[in-house]
Amino acid sequence: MAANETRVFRPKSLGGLLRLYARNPDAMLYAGGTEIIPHHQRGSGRHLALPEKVIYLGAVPDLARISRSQRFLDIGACLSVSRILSMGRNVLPPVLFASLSGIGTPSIRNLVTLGGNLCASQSRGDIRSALSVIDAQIELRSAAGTRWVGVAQLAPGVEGVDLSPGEVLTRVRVPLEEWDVHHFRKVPLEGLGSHGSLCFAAVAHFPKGALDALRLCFSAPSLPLFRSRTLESRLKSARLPIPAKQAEALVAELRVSLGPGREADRQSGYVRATAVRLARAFLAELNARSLEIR
Amino acid sequence: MPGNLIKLRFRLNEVETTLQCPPGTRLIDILRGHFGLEGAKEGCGVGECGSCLVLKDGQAVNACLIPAFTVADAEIVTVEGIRSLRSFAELRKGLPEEVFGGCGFCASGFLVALAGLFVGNPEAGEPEIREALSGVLCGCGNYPRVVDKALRRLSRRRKYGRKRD
Repeated sequence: MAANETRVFRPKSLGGLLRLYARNPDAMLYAGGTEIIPHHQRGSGRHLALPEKVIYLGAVPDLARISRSQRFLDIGACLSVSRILSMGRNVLPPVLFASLSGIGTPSIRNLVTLGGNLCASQSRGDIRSALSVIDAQIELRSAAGTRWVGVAQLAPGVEGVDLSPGEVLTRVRVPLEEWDVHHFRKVPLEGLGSHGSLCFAAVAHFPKGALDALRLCFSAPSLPLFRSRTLESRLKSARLPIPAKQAEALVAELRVSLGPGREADRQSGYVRATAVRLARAFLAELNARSLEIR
Repeated sequence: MPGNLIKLRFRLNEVETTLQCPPGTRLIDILRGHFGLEGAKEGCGVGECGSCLVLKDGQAVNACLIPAFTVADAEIVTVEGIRSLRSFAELRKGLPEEVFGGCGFCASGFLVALAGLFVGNPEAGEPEIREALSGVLCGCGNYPRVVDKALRRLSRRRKYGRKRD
């Protein structure tokens, strides 16, 4: 579609946006644009080849709000990553803070939006993995109504919930629970012919030296969103520090459950091996932290 | 020009500006092509090199990733504005005075990145400066020199206060 045939809508309210999108479900929703623009550059030309209809979300105030209660932090889907980070380490769960800090450069973080990152790309799991371990929920709204789903359900290829026509991700609800350990690591995969990273997010809570809750989540292009509930439940109530033999058995179990991967062998093999190393390092950190607290 | 054009109204370097252009025109092309502001340069064109940085509503952003329709009602400041506008006079005192060594291609990116940092955080220190500059690629390897100059300028400003600036 030629750039000069594009029609751009700029709704000024959430109601207006939902009505507009219901009438134009084929329109492209535009927030930060960092995922969209590089794919719409038309050669060395001076115009972007945008679709016929574009709805710009940047003028809807409801999508750029933050509210905080004792139990939750509600973050508007159109808030930029840098704006969310400006809330600080003391407000955001550390695992989410670390995942947001690792996105792009400062100028890119001024453009990337939370909702855009969650919706636009299948290959970037930075925020998704972090939000998944803290059981964040996302609000999906349309002219027909509102529903809440878990972040993991948005991940393609897992339990996949597709957005219905006319449905918009409007905000993310982050539970503000206390965790003793927050852990986030990101390993770039560019050298393996992939435009993405392996992300590993984990949190743990261990009052009185026994694991009360542990959550682990991996995300990579060949591993859209992997959370081992079996491993998590196996470790529940385990005494800390975890003995070396038991830790190795758990890691071996994780290696099997990660499976062979879905992409080229070289990459999926590397992803699996790295995921196992990250999990092993996390268990070591968990043990060290439990000894510190004791 | 055939097809639909959008009419934009925005502030460019403190001047109210209107412009008609196709909605998919990139901000970098508007600045260089329509207004002759060539301080922002196109390097990679995908937001990785930082040579096209401008301030949009006080934040450093990559002009190669900004389509025209998102500029409506915004306040855009280019490196030319940072150097000459009165509202940036105070901010300018925290920026290095001379163009950095090397080829100079990245200089405008460095200046805008520092300006974006000091607009939001006038008390920024070395870690924040290093972080802010991390989005600008410099093939000549000028990072230590830029960080050093910015820090020296800041420390002089803090030591002698505003009068000596």
